[in-house]
Amino acid sequence: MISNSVSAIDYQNRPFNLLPVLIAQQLTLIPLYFFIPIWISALSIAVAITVYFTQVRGSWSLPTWVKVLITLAAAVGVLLSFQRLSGRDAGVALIAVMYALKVIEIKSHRDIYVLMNLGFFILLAGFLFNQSPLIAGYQFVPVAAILNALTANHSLTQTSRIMHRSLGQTLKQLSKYLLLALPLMVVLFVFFPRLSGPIWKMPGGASATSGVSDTMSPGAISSLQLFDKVAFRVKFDGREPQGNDIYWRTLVLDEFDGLTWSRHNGRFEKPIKSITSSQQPDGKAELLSNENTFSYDISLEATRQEWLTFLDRPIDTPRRSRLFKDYSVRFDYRLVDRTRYKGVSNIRLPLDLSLSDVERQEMTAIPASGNSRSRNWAQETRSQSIDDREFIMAILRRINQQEYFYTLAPPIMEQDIVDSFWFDEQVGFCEHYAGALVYLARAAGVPARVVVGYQGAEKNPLSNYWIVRYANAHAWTEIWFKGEGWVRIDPTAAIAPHRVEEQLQLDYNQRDSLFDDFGFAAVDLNEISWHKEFQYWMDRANTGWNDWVLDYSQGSQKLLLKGLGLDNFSVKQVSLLMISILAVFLAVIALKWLRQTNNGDSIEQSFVIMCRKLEKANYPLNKGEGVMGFLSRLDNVNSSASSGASSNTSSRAERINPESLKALRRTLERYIFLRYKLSDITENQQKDFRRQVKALKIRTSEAKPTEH
Amino acid sequence: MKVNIQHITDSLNKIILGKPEQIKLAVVCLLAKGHLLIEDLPGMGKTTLAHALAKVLGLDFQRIQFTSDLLPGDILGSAIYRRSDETFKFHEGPIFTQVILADEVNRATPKSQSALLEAMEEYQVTVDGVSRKLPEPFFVIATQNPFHQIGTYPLPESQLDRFLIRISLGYPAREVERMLFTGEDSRKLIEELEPVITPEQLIALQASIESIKVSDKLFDYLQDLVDATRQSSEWTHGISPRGGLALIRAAKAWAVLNQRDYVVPEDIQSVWLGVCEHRLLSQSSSVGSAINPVADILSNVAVPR
Amino acid sequence: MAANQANKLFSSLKLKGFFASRMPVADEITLEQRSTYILPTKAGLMMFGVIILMMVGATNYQNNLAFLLTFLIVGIGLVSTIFTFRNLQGLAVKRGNIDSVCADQTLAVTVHLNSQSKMDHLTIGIGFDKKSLFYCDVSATEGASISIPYKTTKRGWLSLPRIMATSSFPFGLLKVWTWFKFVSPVLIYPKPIEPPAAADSIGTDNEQGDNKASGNDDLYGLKSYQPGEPLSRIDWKAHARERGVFTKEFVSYQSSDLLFDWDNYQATEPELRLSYLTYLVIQASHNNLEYGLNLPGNRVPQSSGERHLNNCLKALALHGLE
Repeated sequence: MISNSVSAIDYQNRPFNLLPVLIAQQLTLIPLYFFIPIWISALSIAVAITVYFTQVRGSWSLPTWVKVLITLAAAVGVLLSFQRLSGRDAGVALIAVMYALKVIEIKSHRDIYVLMNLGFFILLAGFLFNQSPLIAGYQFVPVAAILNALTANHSLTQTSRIMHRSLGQTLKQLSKYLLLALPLMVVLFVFFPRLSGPIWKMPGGASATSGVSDTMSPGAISSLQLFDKVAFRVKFDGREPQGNDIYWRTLVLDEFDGLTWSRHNGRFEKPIKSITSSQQPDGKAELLSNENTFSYDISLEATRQEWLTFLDRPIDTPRRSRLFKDYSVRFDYRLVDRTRYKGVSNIRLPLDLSLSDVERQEMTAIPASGNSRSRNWAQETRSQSIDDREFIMAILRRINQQEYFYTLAPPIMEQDIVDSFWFDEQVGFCEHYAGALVYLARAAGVPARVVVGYQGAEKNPLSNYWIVRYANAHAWTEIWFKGEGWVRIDPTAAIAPHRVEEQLQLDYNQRDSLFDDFGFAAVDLNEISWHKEFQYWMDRANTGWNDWVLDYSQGSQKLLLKGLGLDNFSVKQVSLLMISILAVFLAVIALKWLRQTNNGDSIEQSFVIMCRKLEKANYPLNKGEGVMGFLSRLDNVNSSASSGASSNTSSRAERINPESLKALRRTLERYIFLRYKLSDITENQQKDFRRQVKALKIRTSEAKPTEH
Repeated sequence: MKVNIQHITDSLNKIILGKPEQIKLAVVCLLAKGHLLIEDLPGMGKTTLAHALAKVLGLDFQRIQFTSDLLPGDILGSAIYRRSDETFKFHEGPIFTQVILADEVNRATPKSQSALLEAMEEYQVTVDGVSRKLPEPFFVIATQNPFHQIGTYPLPESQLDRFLIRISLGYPAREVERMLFTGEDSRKLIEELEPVITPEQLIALQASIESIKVSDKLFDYLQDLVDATRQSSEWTHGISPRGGLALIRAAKAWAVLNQRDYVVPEDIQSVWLGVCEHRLLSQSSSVGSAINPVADILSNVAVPR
Repeated sequence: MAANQANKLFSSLKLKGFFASRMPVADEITLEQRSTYILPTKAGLMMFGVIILMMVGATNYQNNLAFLLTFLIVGIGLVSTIFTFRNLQGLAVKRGNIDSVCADQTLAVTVHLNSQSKMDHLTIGIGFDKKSLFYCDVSATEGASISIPYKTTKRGWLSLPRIMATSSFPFGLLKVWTWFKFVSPVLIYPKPIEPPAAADSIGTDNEQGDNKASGNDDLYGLKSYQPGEPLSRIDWKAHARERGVFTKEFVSYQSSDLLFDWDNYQATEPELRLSYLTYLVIQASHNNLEYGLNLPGNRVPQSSGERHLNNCLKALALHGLE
């Protein structure tokens, strides 16, 4: 009768269940095997296999000095492989080898817990190397394996039913844990307050490369590396523009949060129609034949972004791309290959001759606080100027005449970046100048925005096309003048030439060969085949992954909260919201389960409800009483009461009114039918019964008659 | 079929007055292919019940009065040498019948008792190495005195287990007894009884018991009850698995008697005392006690909902 | 609810203490969340530390997959509270039969565990304190029984101390526990101590108990042996004379009657007297003798057998306590 029970001491000394532990350990290490030296992977697998087989034979332990020796040897091995023990790669290799060797010294259950907990850390290290969706999905496997190892080692080994579970049952149980943890993970991921930057600075972290990105934070960049890589090649049809007019427009950044310039509305704005497709046929022809109109082919190297680059002010765009009101053009997919498309631009195209109030407001918006010196300076200067143009000219004059330098190694500016650039440092590159100009203009109420793209091009001496390099990346401004619309102003050009530092003078001789990747586009946007389209589609999924998972940051969090209408929430409030969601989720599961555990199946739950009703009506069901017996008791009491003998029966129960008695009888009979006659009760029958019970009203004769 | 059963109990109720529950149990025992033990004092109508039962069912009836000098051969029959053809011819004993009343079974020696009990279990008798089948249906009604008087051999519990149900008739109520005194002679009434069912129908009825539905919840209840007897300190041993099976069979038969094709907890409760009381050997000597621990189990074990 | 019922039974039990031992008090408790506590184990704290570290790492590298992994593990930690809770929920504990023992002996407290929730409850620890737990698995269908030792100290009714049920299944990261208490007490007999002159007191009191003047009814009382009757009752003498196997049922005591009398040990203190008597009773029963007990205000007539022994021991255990 007494089942196998295990005393406390025996439980503490319960044997290890090593196999799940080793499986979990190996599954944890697998992602790292691709990135660490092969000898570590081989060692790890060999150690795991050895430990398993020796443990199966019987308990076995190495003397401590041997373990120390092995550990030291492994560390030396890592040192030899990497020439050092610090740094990301060597560090990860070191902890991987330590983790692999940890299994030789499992002496207690505590060691297993340590090993398994460290496993989480190892998984985390894997993400330093690879962040593909595949590897992210894979993380559930080792996590499940670790949970399995913990469960297996927590059970009573000899008697445990866990040990006798089939693989399928085990997997089902493990996936249950993970599936329930998944929503919690998502909630935490979305709402958990993020810091904007690292807690401490990692070596080799924050330098920027030139090129066009969709945000601009000049203050955060301490050195700009110029890449000589080709950004795109252009071939003009016929006429070619002059040097001063060669500005390649990619994106407009028109929103400033005090640190970063970014594209307003980002993902949600609507595209406009390109001019050539919207204008009247004759106007179109006139525009195309204009002397300022150029048509050309661009072969854009893969940018891994969706933005297309055109000669400033495109008037026609290729298929599958959309022109936005700020004259940036977005393609439907990210550009993962060299891509070729046709462009038509008018370099003198007037833009937005009139500005709506909303637009004007947006284009003059600056953060309410910070940069107060610049703000005051701008307003003062504006008041001394006759008009907006004069005001802008005053600014440019200041750049030209005062000690403003161009440099690729600007100082880091953390707050009031405009103030510190404009008044204190006075050194920077195009982004600093463009940002400062737009800020100053806006501060004085002049609509202004930053445009990023490329400036200039070099003609390939051997052919008829032009090359634009990453080093040509540039930021300039557009200022809105009444009657003229948006006018391009390039503050960087205002710097006195002798103050442009020397290292800028690129040594053209040291550049990559002009001809290394000679030739034009691999993909023609006008002729996309289906498999290309599939590739693009895959890439789009990847973009989603990048946007919403890998690049999810404080900024995206803010954007999302804004989308949810929570943009006014403080960090504290968002945290509280997160905690409440978690709590509600857990409470719902808990309630569901606990109700299940206490009350059994649906019929039983319904029956419990009925019992409560009966108790209220003073007709409780006795412990050992069946429903049928209760029914006959009910009949007895009610019939004897009617014959006036109720005073004799000691029960205080009043008679049940005939209507409800009938209903009660029906319900009870239904219960008997469902419970004892049927083999399988369908969902519907359960629901029906529940409804029947819920609708049941037990009225005693002294209660008011039913309402009809 | 249903009507038949109703008729059986109705007819019996006319003969044995005021004992409807006991009659029902007796019929249930028969339907469940079990044997009946009636424990009562002499003169309570045991024989009348047995006789009436046989008559109503249209079955052959034999009665054996067990005495201390009864030999197994007196029950089973014996081989007798025939001069004429110089062979042994087997003369069937009284056991070769459909309903047999073993009166005062505890007066016979254990040897004779066991001869009967073997037949009850095996549905066949073995004499001189030859096995002979007993007729079908075969139903034993044994009676015994509740108080072990001097010179009796009470059935050991291992053999008590063979009886599906034990009932005791007890004294009749006052008005019933008056009717007994004033009414007709029951013997005469039995003579007039008409069988309401054929043996074939009875066999079919017995077979139909098998198809009665017992739900999981009911098995839960049954096991709870059986466990309660095993975990109680009241008895040296709880109900055996055979006892549990007997309980199911009897409950199914009770359900048939109540014209249902599924068993409800009340069926088990109704047959509980009849099936279990003689199987549970009380540790205490609380024969006369007002508390019946076997019945207590029913009120202490919750019916699974 | 079960506890309430048990309480009611207990109060009625006090009224008629005589029936206490034969009353099948169903001390049945279904563990519920109200009185259940939960705390992380050492391993759980270790994991908490690892989570903090991972969080720092993820923030520092601004690595969102690291965040996802960290949050997954936090999620598992949170969900495991429910799993751990549920492992103890819906477990019904029931007091099993507990055989009385003498004081200073170890009581085997039987606890029947049953699943009320149709699921297995694994690695459940039961014990009087957290240092002496006994672990078992409670299957959904079969349940389990566990026997935990309890060291007794003094005679009389022992009210069992509270019992702990605990579990840290499935991961051992969290530990839930709850306390429950069985209501019905256990009878503890006095500690048997051999009296200094035991031999003297046995067998001298035959004039006291021999009130059954039925010694010449032998023939009437001899019965045929029935299988299952105690071997000690068989008339072996008759059997030796090849008269068959008979049982002596009504008469004929094998030796002179024993009566263990409280007054035999005038000089000793009451507890010691009880211990002496307990020793004598157990010895006599062990040797299949018939014996009686005479205590002030309580006299147990001569008899033998298990039940008789229990009656005597009970009288000794409760002497002066009721």
